[in-house]
Amino acid sequence: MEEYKIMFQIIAFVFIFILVYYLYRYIIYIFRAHRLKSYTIKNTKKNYVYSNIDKITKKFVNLNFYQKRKNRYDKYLTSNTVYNSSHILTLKLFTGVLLVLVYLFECMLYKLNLNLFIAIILYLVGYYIIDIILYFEYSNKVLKMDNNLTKVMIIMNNGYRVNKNHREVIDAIIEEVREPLKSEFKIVRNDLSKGLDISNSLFRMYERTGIEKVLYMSELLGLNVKYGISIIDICDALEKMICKKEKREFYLLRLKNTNKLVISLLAIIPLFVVGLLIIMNYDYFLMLELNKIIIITLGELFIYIVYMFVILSVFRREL
Amino acid sequence: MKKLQRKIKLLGINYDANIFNSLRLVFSLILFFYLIFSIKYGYIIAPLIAIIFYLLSEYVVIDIPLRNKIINMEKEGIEYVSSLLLNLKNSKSIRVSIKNSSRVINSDLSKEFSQVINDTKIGLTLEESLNNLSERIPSIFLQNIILNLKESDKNGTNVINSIERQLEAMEQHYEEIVVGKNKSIPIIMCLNTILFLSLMIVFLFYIIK
Repeated sequence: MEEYKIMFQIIAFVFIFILVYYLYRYIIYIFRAHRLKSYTIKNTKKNYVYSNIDKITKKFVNLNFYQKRKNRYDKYLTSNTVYNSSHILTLKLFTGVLLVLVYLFECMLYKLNLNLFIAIILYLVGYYIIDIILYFEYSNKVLKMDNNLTKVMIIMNNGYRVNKNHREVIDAIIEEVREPLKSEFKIVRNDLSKGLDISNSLFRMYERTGIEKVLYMSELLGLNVKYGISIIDICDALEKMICKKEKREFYLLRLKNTNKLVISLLAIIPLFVVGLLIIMNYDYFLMLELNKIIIITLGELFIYIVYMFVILSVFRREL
Repeated sequence: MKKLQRKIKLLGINYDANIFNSLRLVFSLILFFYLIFSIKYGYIIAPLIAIIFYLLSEYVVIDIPLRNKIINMEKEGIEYVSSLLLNLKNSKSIRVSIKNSSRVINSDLSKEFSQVINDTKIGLTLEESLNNLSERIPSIFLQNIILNLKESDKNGTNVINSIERQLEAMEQHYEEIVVGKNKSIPIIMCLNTILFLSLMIVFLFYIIK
């Protein structure tokens, strides 16, 4: 048995060595690309990991599974990323496989029994963890965009007054505005060059981001596109509307911060009180059967989950 | 009875008020007889609970959805009325401006307004169809705006300034409702904690016994 253990350890050592070597090569690659960045014309963003993922996805893209699911990840892309929506799907599939492989390797190392249930759970965790990371990034991005949208409206209002066309106005916006909005308006410019009108391209931006102010912009600019109503009046009305909405939201934010504090306090209180009751009566509690203890903990947990659900649903009421 | 019928019409449902009234009467009578025969002091509790059920059913079924509809309509109205104003400022007629803005904007309020254009195609005049519209919309400010449109259709007066004033008042009203709702949240949560804490403690002692 000892000999097997040494053999497994040697295999593990070789595996880790190969992994460290590839990581080292990747880091060196990035550093060199960064140094050469200012002297090259070609895009140096295509890196080692990306090229490997791209090779794998090209084999599977025509599958039915990919064609159905890849449209879900379109909203996470920006104009700067070299990744495709189908690349994200491959990454999701392979992180799940990687976690299961690590589990198998550990079972080999310590001679544990294989458990299929744990393997399935690990695969699901690997499959959905990228979704969670992407969603948090996305919600952060949307918040930043929502706060800087009045700047866009001011530039639009001044641009249309000196008889600029849509293309020139959006170029002016791209020059002025900072990152998350900048890449979003680059996509709008791309849509315009493909032949869509301004209201449709802004509606596509609303579908990507879900900001209500962008919907207002697209719907009211549609009045100019379809019925020829003067664009200066529309921009004036839009600026007024968005400014008022922003003022209201800042006032609500102050109220919501106090509400958050109340929630965090109220979430602890039931746990604290019930915990105290159990600790005070602990000797009496130990004399019970195991069945009753399980019923008590499960019941309390169920009531607590319902309680938190009610509180959060009150907090997140649509306003 | 007329008031109840008007309220039901404001909700946007075609339902007879007589049927609603008789239904809640029958249910409260069933509750009354059940409580009298089942509980010990039924002759005190049963009439009280039957009356409370009779009054509360109108509040839960009609009044709360109506209030929610008013808030929703005023939120959508801020966008819709400003687009209506843009059309009127560019010297379009009332009928054309309603048609344009309800085609561009996609919301519940714009569907109600597009019903006006459909009514005029059947044979009603614009005044009659606007009258029908004001019976379907619960918000006071939106009703005032519709009244403005009706009067200007009759007399040919300029309507832009008064609609702007109504729009400003509507925005303020909506803001006050939203802020009030947010301020009442901590109190509702405290009541929730008391209720659920007592539930948890009762459950714990019930099983230990």
